[in-house]
Amino acid sequence: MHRKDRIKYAATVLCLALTGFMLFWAYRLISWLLPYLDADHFQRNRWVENHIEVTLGQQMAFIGIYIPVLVLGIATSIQGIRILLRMRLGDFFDAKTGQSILWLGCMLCACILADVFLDGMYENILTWNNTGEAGQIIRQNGKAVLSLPVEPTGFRYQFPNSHMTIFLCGAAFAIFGWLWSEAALLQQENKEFI
Amino acid sequence: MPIIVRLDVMLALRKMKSKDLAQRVGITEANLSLLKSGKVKGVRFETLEKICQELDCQPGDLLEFEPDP
Repeated sequence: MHRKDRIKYAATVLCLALTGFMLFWAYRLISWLLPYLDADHFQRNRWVENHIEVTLGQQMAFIGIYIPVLVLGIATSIQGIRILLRMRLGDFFDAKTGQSILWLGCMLCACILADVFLDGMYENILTWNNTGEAGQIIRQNGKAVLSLPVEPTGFRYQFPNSHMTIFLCGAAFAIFGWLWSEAALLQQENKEFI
Repeated sequence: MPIIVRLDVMLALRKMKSKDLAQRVGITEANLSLLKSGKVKGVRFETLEKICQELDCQPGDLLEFEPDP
């Protein structure tokens, strides 16, 4: 098999694998999110105590904070697929491929940042109706609100090591893509000198 | 562009074909054609030196500055 054909074959396999992974990941996230359209799901999964009613606004906000992660995750995968398709077509060392890698890195970083920061908001969303004292069920307009904690919690986030590793990989991709792009432009410029 | 390449004039004066010059200088005919038409970003000193050597001329005989109106 010719070298170019081998690259084409490998790129096709990777492209299919990445497409499969993207669809699987998106399906898992959506199938995890959709049940939260049912308010009781929060109680069943112990997000709130059994007697607490989660309002529609809270439900929508809870689901809404994961939408950017979903969109950015899909966009990152699509960018990866685009790079592999360029490889498949034989466009290896050109500026556009470098720029695609740069964007892939930026999107990966953005996806991780969105996941970390938006994930830190769910506690705040589920407690924003809290008003009463600890351990008490408070009723507002006939609806019970969270009894614990007393006050709405603030924004708390964690940056786990796994996320940090992926973030650093994204940053490395972005820098590598930029270097690739600049090098390709330099090579193109050199080619125009006789 | 204000730099005009007069390579075709020198080739005519020396009665040399583009193909021969390209071969002697070590560049492709396509690149020499681009150079003749001025459709290049630049020319290396090394290439210029070889062209001058083969055509027995000075760089000034090949390049001319013509200011934009």
